[in-house]
Amino acid sequence: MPGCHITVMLLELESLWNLTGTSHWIFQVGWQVRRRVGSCFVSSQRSSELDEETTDNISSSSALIFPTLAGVQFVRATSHPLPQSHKQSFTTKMTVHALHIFDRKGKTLFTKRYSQPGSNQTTPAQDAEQLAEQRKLIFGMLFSLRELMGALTPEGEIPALHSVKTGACTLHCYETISGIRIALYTNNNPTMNAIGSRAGVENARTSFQAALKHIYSEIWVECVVRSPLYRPGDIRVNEGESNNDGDIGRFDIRSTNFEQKLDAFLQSMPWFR
Amino acid sequence: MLPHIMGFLHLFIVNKSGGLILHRPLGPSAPSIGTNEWLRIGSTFHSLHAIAAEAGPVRLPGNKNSYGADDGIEDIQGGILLKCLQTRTGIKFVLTAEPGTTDLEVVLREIYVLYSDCALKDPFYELEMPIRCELFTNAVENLIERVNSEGAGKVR
Repeated sequence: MPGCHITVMLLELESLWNLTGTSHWIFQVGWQVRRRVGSCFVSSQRSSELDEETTDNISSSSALIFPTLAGVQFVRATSHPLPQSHKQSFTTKMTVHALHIFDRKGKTLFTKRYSQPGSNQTTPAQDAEQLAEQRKLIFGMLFSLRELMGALTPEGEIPALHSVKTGACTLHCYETISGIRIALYTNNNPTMNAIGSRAGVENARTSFQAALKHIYSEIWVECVVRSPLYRPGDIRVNEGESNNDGDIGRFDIRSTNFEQKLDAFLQSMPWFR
Repeated sequence: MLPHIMGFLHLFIVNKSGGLILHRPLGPSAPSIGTNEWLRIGSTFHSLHAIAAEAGPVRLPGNKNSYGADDGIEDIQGGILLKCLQTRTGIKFVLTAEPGTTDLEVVLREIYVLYSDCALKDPFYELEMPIRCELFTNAVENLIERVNSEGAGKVR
């Protein structure tokens, strides 16, 4: 057993799936694997702690997580089908520049740049600092804009911030009830704006909102929050950080396959690059 | 087949130093906001307008947009629609409306034209000071009324 890489299975039972026989079979197989491997098993005590972080649409699911000796990896046995409206709304290509995830205190939980800036003569250390400053600006801007929208919104509407457009690029934002903000930078696409200004205004905006919501609930929660090594508030930024001694023992997002799944999802979107 | 929903909420104008020079409700559903709160909103928006251009991963050449003005927030969508027009002189015209309202940019351009006709050509108006021109406020009222009635008449 030591040294052999076992991919673990992450099972998710939702109330719908309980009705099908297939899910029961997968559940049975999972239990068999667990008994044979004999590795440690994250009990329901852990998952009840994690349940606070899940969103409302993962209400009745439970996850069984089997860490292996080689590290933790998750393979989804079931997957949610993407709503087809994604593929139909956009016909031209857009470019995704960057994606950032912040917690409620402003700390960066995850960041990734998809387009490199032009020639930069700064050293990598300076570059990382510049990027960290830029991320602080982004968080501050999102926070203040949200407050501004709250002040300007009439009584009947729910204040929310979906997208901010400047001449250079557009920032799409999704905020969860727990304060996690996902910010996605794309370029400005005139087709998207034309769709947005007519009756299909719900389509254009909610497509990005739906995509970001999917990133949160299907990829972030599944890969990161349900990882047995995850501790809220103790996460390490994965980009630009040198190897500090104080970081040993903290949760590193690279131990999950969050980034791979995120890239796969974004590339499957018709508007990626 | 829905009629155009014209739900304009507020118009506010910010000068190039961030001070508020006009704030005006445009419809019945506009939330009532006190004067101090307006001043705070005006200056906050002024700073955020500039920060948005700075925080983005890409910049326009020279940080100027196609109209020759400094790049910044043009459009915010969320619980309400917000459109901003910044002129080369640094004045920002900001219009808010309920989601579903169309032609915000056109109305914003019209308001800019009215500003230059009524306020700037008024010999007693001091630049960057709060606008106290009756001609301008009446013209804005008439414009909004015209757009609302046109919108109600049009059927998509």
